[in-house]
Amino acid sequence: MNFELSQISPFSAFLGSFFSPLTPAWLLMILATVFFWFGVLAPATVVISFLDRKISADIQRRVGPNRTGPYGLFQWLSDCIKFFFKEDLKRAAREPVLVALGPVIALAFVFCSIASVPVSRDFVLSDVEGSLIWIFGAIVFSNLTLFWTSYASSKKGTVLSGYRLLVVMSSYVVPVGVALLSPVLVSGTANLRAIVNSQGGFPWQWIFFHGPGGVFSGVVLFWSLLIWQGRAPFDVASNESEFSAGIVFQFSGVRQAFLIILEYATVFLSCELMVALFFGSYITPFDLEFFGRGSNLVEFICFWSKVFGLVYLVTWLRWSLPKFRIDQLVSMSWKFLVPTGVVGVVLTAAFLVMGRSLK
Amino acid sequence: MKQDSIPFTLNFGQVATVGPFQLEIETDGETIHTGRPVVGFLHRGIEKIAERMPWQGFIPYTDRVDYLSAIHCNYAYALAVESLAQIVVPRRAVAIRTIVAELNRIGSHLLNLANVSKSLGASAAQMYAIADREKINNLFEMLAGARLTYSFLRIGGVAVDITEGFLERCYEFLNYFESKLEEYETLLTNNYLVRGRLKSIGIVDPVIAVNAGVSGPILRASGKAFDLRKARPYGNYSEFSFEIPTSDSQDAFGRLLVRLSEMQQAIAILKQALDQLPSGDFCANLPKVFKPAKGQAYAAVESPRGIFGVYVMSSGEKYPARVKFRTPSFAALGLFPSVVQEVSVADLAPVLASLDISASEVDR
Repeated sequence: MNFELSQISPFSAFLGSFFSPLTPAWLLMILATVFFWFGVLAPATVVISFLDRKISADIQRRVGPNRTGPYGLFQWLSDCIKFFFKEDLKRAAREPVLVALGPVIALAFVFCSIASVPVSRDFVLSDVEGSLIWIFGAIVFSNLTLFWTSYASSKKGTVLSGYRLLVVMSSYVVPVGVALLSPVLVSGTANLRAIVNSQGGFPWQWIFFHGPGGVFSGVVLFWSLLIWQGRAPFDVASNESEFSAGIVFQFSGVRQAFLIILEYATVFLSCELMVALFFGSYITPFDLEFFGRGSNLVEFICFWSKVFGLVYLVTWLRWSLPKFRIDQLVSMSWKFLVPTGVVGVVLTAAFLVMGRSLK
Repeated sequence: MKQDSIPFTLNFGQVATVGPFQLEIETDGETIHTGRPVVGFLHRGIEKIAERMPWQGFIPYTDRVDYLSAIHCNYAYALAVESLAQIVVPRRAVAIRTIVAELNRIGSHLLNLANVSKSLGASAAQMYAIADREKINNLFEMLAGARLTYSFLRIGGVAVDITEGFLERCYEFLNYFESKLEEYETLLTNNYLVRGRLKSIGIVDPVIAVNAGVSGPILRASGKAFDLRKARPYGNYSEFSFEIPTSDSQDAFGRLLVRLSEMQQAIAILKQALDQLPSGDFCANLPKVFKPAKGQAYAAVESPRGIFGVYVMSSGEKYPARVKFRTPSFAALGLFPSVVQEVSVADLAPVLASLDISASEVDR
């Protein structure tokens, strides 16, 4: 099979430029994955979990963790260690394999999607032709595998909570799909890296401000991704105060940690997607020739600051808003999100026809 | 049982954290068709214990009947015994009783606010309510030495006189809390999501409420303006000017509004009471061995949950012959089957929280 490494994994090719040209591609890819894991994915999840606890404490007039390390910076470490020591509950389930497999496959989908999102001009672990479509599919399927988990268990509360998950899915899939059309239309491609590169550094060069269509689609995407994340105010499926809080509480120990990591990884993926599709991701307003090789680092910083701005917004919404009831969620989705998304697409298309472009 | 109904027994803590009682409901997963509470898990035999405790020594037990409004439980018992033994309470003691009773009312309503917010997932509002309630707990700690179960009232008055610095701290708290109430308006009353969740759920018809013996904010939110402090005034409530807030909506949102307004009115009463605090004794003198004459008496107060009544019977001994508590949460929990008819499962927790049921009161 003949392929150009830089076409499918630019990051591996970037790493390869540091080593001799004879290093095999598979070795570079493994190295790139490890680097990406420890350099992007794990820190992102860890930092988001820390931010979640500190921001929620701030909103609730508390202090948050402040014992494990300065300002509680190592709370994630103590949580990790704790989860390894907890007893792994094996509940009687009708299909134990499905129940155990669900969180793992959901995690796999989300992690692979995160790998497709560009972090800076060379830090794209996996760059497929239609990466946005693949990510959309992964977003849908990750929830579906969680549905296996609840449907295959033997507690009636859990099974009911699985049905609710399906209802939640029906509320976010269509708005996300509709909202994703705008960036695709504006940039003319479904490749996430190309969409980012089609935007500029200044706000008026972002897809979000490309006419009112960008704003509509951006808001709809943000809101629908919030529904996908399944956190309050949309946590109908794993609601603590309703007795069908089945999915999360089936597990203990590391399996429970999977679901918690899944929650933070979905937050990260949502913010990454928003930033990449609507806010110009890592593109800086100023020219980066001065930095040479270090331009990656500057873009890295640009990317992270935008993502963490959105993470703060997501966390703020999660901790201050009351929850939607499931029928209110569905009606909000179909009566507000879908029409607004369609309007966004139509306006974007109209602007394009009128000849407005981004740069 | 309807066709596709599944029976569930919800144990304590599975729905809102309202207390140890079970709820047996039948639901098809989305709507609740029938519901029945199972109580008795917190029964401690308080009324039986009364029969072997000296009259004055029973007061700490009355705290525990409803620990969230301990002062009102003390108050009703003290009033009943004073009526039985024809004891005249000094004016200063009556005024101090009003002050602590209204402070307790604010504290209890704040806790209910926290419960309702928690059931809706509004964790910010919940934490703010708990934080503000802490200030009231601190005030009580300064005065009575305890944060929750004060045993502050005595037969004939109160336990101690107002401690130094209490009045200033009280005024400080009132000024602080008035501005906080506006914050709660923004967080809860004017919040689109809170209105969407709480309106039209947990409807309590006023006729059903009266027939069930329900009183307090639930009855007032059903439209009936009945408050013991105005209807059968006790203590020195007739000296103060305040209003009875009602709501016509009969739903959980109406109860939230009524409780918020009652906190407002409590602040008004407190300000008047603090300004008009008379001097004098803080407790009447009682004989060392207190043996009221044979007879019976009943007294009721308006606790944060409704009419809290105590019936006492004496046969001339050191110990009561019988003490009976008439608690508002018992009646309110009796509303449960009618209030959860055709209610969505998601609304069960907010409805239960809005009924403000104290399990310790139900079981005694």
